[in-house]
Amino acid sequence: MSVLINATQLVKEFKSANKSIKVLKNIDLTINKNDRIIIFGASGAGKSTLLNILSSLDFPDSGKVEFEGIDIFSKTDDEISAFRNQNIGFIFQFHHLLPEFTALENVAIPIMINGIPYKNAVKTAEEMLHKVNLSDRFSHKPAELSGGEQQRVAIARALINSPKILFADEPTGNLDSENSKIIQDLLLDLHNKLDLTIVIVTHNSELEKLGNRILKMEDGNIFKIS
Amino acid sequence: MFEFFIGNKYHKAKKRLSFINVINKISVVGIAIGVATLIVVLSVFNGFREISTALMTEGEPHLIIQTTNDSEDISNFLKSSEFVDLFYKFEEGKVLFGNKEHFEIINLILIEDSIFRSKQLIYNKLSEYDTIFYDGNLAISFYSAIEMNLQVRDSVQITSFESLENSVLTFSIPEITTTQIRNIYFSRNASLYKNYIFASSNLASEIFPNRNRNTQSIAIFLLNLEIANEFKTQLSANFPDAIVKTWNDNHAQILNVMKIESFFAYLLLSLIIAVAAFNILTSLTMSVQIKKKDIAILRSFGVSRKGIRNIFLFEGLLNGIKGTSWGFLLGLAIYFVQKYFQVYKLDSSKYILDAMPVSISFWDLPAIVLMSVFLSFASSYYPAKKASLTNIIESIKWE
Repeated sequence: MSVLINATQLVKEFKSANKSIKVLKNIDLTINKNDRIIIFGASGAGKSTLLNILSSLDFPDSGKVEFEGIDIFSKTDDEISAFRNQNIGFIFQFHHLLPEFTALENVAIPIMINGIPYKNAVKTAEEMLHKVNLSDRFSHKPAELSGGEQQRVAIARALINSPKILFADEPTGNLDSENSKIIQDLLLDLHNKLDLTIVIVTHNSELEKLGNRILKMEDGNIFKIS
Repeated sequence: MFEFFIGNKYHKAKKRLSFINVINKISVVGIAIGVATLIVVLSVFNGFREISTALMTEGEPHLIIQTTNDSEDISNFLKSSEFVDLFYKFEEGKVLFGNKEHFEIINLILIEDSIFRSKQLIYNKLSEYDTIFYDGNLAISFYSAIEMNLQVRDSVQITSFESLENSVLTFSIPEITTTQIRNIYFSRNASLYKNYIFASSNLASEIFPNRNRNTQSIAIFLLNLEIANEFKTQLSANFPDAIVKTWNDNHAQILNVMKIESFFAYLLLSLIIAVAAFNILTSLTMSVQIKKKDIAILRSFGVSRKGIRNIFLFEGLLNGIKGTSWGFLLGLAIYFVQKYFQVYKLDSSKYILDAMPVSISFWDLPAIVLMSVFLSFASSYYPAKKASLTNIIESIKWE
């Protein structure tokens, strides 16, 4: 199995006026292609911080993250942005859809950032929304969609550029059990269809069944559970 | 271009805080008023400048060329030029002019006889008032006629200053030329109207008997006086020894004053746009503050800092362009209404015009539009730059 991401000795510390908290303590983590990694942990365990650093949204104080053998933090801002656009998909707990744009436009934007003209981007976005069973919601704005539909639009948006890896931070954290189940099934289905590598951080134990590797974070350290 | 797509959407979307919508509208209306005011005021300045130019140049040559060489080459050149309407040789000098009752010091211009007789000067360049004969004698202005109680066929005496000077030096009687007034003309050119009289060059040797005539002067009227400077360049290239002066050179001071006046009006009125554009800065800064989460999301998709900056630059610029477009149309509408319907009248008993003159200069419009767009861009830059520096993690956490 080939290595997609290799993180070594990641350290991240948050400093406030009179104290500093070490959120990540020399974390080493290898993510292989096609992995489905579920990272559990209590609030404040450092799982979101780890996710942000692995996905190049945040920088570590020390340590290295290599994506397919290349140190991502050696790149310029423009290069990291392009790297994120082409290789990484994100799903957040609160869908974070852009409220001024329709479902179709929300999904099309990442592919437009990649330089695809509007017409083609919209066509691809339609196909993607079709895959997440939202063919009848193209022209709806986020406020006109239910929580589950919003999260499915967010998934379509995350996957439109065919990323090599999908990072999800509490993807079901804001959903009821019925919608949570729909999202879980969808993620599993997309993983199988698209050969996607998935990393999910959550404290929802129901998501455990999605993973082939289960990790736990506690007090800035990471442990293998299975 | 996704930056324009997103910026345009943000520009069109109703803002999440109605207060920002109000400021946005104020900025658009303010810019529109500023642009419209600039167009109208500058067109009024241009209108007055055109009128002043027309008055200054009425009956006055567009170019004067002086040469010590044979002037035939120049005459041939002018004859073959497609730009030249009329040209003639002339002499000029100060004279004492009048009859037994009134005398006045005035400038006498002696015009090449064939031109003077052919009435071209009077018909083409000055307005005729009373004409009986064209036998080469004197033409005076209506102003002089009234001032000195003269009329056509009256005899007048002319003595040149040169002759007076000579008589003092040689203790002789000055040469006095007696001639008849044969034409009276009008002119809106105050200088020509009050300070000049015209006669045929046949009188030259009589009035200026001792003059050294090595230097010859030729007056040139062009079909379009705006090309006077280009034609001067052409003449100077062809006749490097000759001295060429245009009407611009003769009125350089007043023309410069008008240009400076117009330029400062442009700068000062641009302040209206600057103040209005400042509202773009305010509304965009608030908009960026509210959209921090969206910015972080866009960054997470792979929009670079430059891309975020461009999105908000477009949003601000589109406000500016909207205001500029409305102002442009409003300004042009006011201009056309004044030009064709003369809504703003002037008291014709006090002014020589019936209505406020307006004229649009070709370069004013792009200058106004560019200034407005530049100010909108400058106002958008700071909030756009600020948006590009948004911290992704901090902004995503905020919910």
